[in-house]
Amino acid sequence: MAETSNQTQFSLKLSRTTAAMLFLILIFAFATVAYAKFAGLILFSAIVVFGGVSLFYHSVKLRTIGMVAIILLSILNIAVNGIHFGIDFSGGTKIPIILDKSVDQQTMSKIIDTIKSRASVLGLTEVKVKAIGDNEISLELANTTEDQISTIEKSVSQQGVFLGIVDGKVALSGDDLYSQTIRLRVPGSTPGRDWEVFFTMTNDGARTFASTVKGKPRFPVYMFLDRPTDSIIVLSREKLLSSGQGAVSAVSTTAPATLGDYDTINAAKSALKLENNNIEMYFVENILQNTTNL
Amino acid sequence: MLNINPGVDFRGGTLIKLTLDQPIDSNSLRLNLEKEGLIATVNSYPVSNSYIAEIELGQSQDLIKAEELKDNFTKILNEQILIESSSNVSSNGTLSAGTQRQTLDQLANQMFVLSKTDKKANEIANLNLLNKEFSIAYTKVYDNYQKSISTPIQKYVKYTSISIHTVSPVLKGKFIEKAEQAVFYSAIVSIIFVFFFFRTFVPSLAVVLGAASDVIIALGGMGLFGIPFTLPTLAALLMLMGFSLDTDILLTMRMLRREGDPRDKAFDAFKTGTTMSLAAIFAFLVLFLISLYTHISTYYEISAVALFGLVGDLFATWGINAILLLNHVESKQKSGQNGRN
Repeated sequence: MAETSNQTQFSLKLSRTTAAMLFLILIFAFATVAYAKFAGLILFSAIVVFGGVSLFYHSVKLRTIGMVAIILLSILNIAVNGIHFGIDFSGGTKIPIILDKSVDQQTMSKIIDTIKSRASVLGLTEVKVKAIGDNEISLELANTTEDQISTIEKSVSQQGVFLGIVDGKVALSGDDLYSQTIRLRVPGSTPGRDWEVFFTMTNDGARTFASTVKGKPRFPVYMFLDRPTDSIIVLSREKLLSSGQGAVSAVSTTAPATLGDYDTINAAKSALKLENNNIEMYFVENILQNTTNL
Repeated sequence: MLNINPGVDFRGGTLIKLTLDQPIDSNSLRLNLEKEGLIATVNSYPVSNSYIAEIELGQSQDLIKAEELKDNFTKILNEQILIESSSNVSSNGTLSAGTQRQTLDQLANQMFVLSKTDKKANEIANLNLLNKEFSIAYTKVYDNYQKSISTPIQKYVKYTSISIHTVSPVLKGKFIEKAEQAVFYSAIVSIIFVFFFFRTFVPSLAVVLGAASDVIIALGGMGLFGIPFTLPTLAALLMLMGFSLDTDILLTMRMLRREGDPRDKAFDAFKTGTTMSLAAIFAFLVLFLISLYTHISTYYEISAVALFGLVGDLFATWGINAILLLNHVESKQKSGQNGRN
């Protein structure tokens, strides 16, 4: 007579589908942790996958696993990314900015970059700027004082400062242009020219321009918007030399076909020259070798 | 007419909330603010172990004037720029084409006076510089307004924290425009969805009427109890449309798509639908009670509007829609039977 064991034998038998589900859960969980930036998209994909499984497989066990998986992945999402508290809970200031007219995406992107850089100049690095539609911008500042809010409001409402510089002197400024007359011509419409911008100057502006450029034919006009003051530029010498030659040749009809490194670097320095306000240029390679500026 | 009180978001103005350690006399604060030229309504409440004071100020006349001046100035400036840039200058330096420079100068001077800036427009020949000075003066009007509020409050009240919500005339216009768009598009999409889903006129109309009734009942409740119409209440009204469509579609699906006696089907739908509505009512009731205790206006506004709408939904859906649908289904059955006979 065979003896029967009183011990309960425990065996875990997983069906293929259940094992596949558990494997998927692990994949999604790993992806949520490894790619936290895309956790929302991963969670959405999980909902689609497990939701689809629930539709096609009429097993209560699978549907329960799917539901639990979505809940656990959501909790993991919160654990990895945290909850983004609005200013009602975190404190701060929200400033909605409404533009005078609608702008395209490129212009909106430039406006946002300008606001961010002006805010960072004021020492406000935790500014959140985002576009809403095509004529509204939302500005959110973490805890700030009333004076800081006032300063940023003034800074944001200021128009950009446009300068046209020839041989280190201001030949043209934004105050000398009639803003409504600025027109961009489609690139390629004039043979031999990449792009063209037309504008009309005031009489005073025209006289200033004429007197500044007198005796300087074919000198390039370097145009800046919000040209930084008290700044330096740090760039790679290799990148400047590889891209600079084409740029210099394009603006100078008398430049030789191939330029030496010295000419390219000189042209770059010339573009940054302005009486009493030069922007110094430093090469990354030299800084790394602990040398001074050129 | 619906006597709905627009909140700061749609009326413009400033809402200030102060957290205080000690209670204040609302009336004397109101009088002190009046002495400083601020006409305000002041309310204060105890909240757990502190106090909240709410100060509401109407739209500033200076801001309204500044916006008007800015609109007119910008319009005329653009025309003047085109005139100056395209006209020929005569030998004595004067413009040969017509000019609106005088009107522009008058507007600019009014803005300088409003902002208490010591500048004269006729001393600024360059249009771009004039525009720049005008913009600076415009920003200064807002700055002065903020200071005119914060300085007296700091003088008369010792607060632990402050929240200032200012809605300018331009922003108020923007909110109203967005609210209109939200309501319009929500209504259109809901109507299209309902008619497309059911493809029969009477049931679809009943569903749409149900949603509209809920919103109107909620608006009526807001008018009756003085709940201000703000961005949160607008969101709550749009949410109500969803709740209403929920129960109406449940009723309509059961009545149209299931087999059985219409009255039995209606009663089954009633049992399920009222359970759903009561659950939502209890949830919002809890939020409402919390809002009364904490004096958080957003919770109060959303929960009050939701409660009015959900209670109204019980009558609109089961008192009106159900009857309409029952009539429709029974008359279809009768005409079907008559046809067979």
